[in-house]
Amino acid sequence: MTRYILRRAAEMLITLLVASFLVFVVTEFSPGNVARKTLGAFALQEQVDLLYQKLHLNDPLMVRYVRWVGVLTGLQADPLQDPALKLDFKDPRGDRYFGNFGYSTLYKAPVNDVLWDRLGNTALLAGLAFAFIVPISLLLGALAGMNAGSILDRILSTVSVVMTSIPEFALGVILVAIFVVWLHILPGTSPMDTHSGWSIAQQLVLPVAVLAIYDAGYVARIVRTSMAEVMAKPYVRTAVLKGLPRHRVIISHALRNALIAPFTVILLQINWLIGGVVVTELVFAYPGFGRMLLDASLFGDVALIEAATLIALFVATTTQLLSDVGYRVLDPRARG
Amino acid sequence: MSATVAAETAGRATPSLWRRLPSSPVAMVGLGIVVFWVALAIAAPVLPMPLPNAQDYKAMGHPFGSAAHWLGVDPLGRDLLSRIVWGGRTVLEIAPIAVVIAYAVGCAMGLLAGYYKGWVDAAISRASDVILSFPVVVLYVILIANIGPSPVNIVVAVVLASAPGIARIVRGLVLSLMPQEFVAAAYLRRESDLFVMLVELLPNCRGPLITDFCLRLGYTTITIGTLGFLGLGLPPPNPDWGGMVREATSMITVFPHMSLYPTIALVSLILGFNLLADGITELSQAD
Repeated sequence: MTRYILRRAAEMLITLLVASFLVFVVTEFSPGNVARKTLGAFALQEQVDLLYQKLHLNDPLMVRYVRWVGVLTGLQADPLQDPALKLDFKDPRGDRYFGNFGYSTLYKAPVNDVLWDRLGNTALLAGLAFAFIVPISLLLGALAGMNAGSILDRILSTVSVVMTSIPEFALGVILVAIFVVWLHILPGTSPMDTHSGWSIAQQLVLPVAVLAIYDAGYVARIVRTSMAEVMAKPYVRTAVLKGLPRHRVIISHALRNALIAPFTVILLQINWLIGGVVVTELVFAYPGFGRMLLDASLFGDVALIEAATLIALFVATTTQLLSDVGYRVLDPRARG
Repeated sequence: MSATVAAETAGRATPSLWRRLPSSPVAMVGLGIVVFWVALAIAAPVLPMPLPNAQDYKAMGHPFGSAAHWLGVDPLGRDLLSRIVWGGRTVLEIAPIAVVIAYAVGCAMGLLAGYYKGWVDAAISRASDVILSFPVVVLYVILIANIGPSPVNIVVAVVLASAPGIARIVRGLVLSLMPQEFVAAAYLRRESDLFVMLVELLPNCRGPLITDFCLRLGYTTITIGTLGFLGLGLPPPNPDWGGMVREATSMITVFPHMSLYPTIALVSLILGFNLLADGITELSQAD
């Protein structure tokens, strides 16, 4: 098991490297370069050209990528903080440390100053959503799956299809129309401060609902399928035939085995949640990681895009690893 | 259950699936919704309604539904019904094209990986893993923001994001088909690799792929809508459901209909694709 985890961790590291390189390549397509974005739209072309040369931005892509990795790992000083450039860029952590994501040209601040607060806000949003997704989807899915083919199953399955058919932004619009425009009981934006007179809790209701409803429908469908399969297994029939009460059959025989497959799916939902927060945060003007990534991408802030991508991928690959390890622990057949 | 019935369905799965479609109410409702939008999209040029980009300044004072504009007008005085119908046309053009190309690329990748195994498989599978480890929306945002929003680029992004997932399914199916007798028989007849892949293996993968195709049409519709809402869809003034919602959300407290109607249109089409996929899954499991 230890060897398996080590091997997977090494693969994860390679994935992160390859992905960050791909992002580097893709950002090459966007107009403008780091020098222009650092100095702003009103700087003279000569100034931009000078900075362009001093930062060695005409080096081949590979060289610049290696330099970026050097800055990130703390092996190299961040060239933008060089006092000789007189850009007045200061990172309180110094110009050379492990985890230096560089300087955000959009926010004119070190990426590490911008990133972590927003990530915290998003973690709160996604964590709350997750806390609702798991019980709702398990309940809906298990109820539908253990009565497979019944009217209840039909109704619950239709409900979950409808839930997964409403994209986050559409659900946001519908919920805002109902609870903000019509009923006036919730705020339409969630800036996470109390200037507007709405409490933080009230501001969180709609964004969490949007994230939770979309994903819960999907997970409920997986739970239903898994539960329906288990209910048709011979050992469940045996349990029924030997006279166990129905709730004992379901709780101690069926449910435990039916939850192994959804367990991995539920963890993999974290990957979807990261995507969902981009949209949800835009709908509700929520100061989080997703909206930051969208703004950074539209502006072409390479340092911030890279940092956001690495974190998103780190979370995604780590949960994938956790789900695979968990699957092996839960299901003895997968250990092989 | 007689053996002949089973043999018949196994021999000709696709035509019988189509013939059995009416027996699934879920699939028929889904098909109905999809056909409704396809019909509207095809008829768009001949329908008696204003052009999608024509502005009616007089209607802007009272932008709600009227005899001239059944669903009202948008913030720029353009007919909402016309924009929804023409917007459906763009979605129904881009989504199937993107999914079909993604399928071509994904099937090719999956066939090569599953057939040749070894380093070909390793290269294709590792490359797919990297793409699949991106949260999808993050991948779309980074891609489109950098290569620019246009119909072609949306197709490129959808293909890049979806092909690895399709490849993974096809690879798994091919690996399970390879040890079967009909593949060995093809080898004995000295068929070429290409023949075995395209004539023997690919058609036998179709069962799970038909459902996945419908689901992916739904996902791609979600993607196109979401990209439009993020400002990464079709450049204005082209009608595009996500973009229409984006332009109208700032006025949702005053004119909720401007954002609600395109939202309902989008949700109904996605629901259509998903119900169709559900119905087909149910039918194919009944075999």
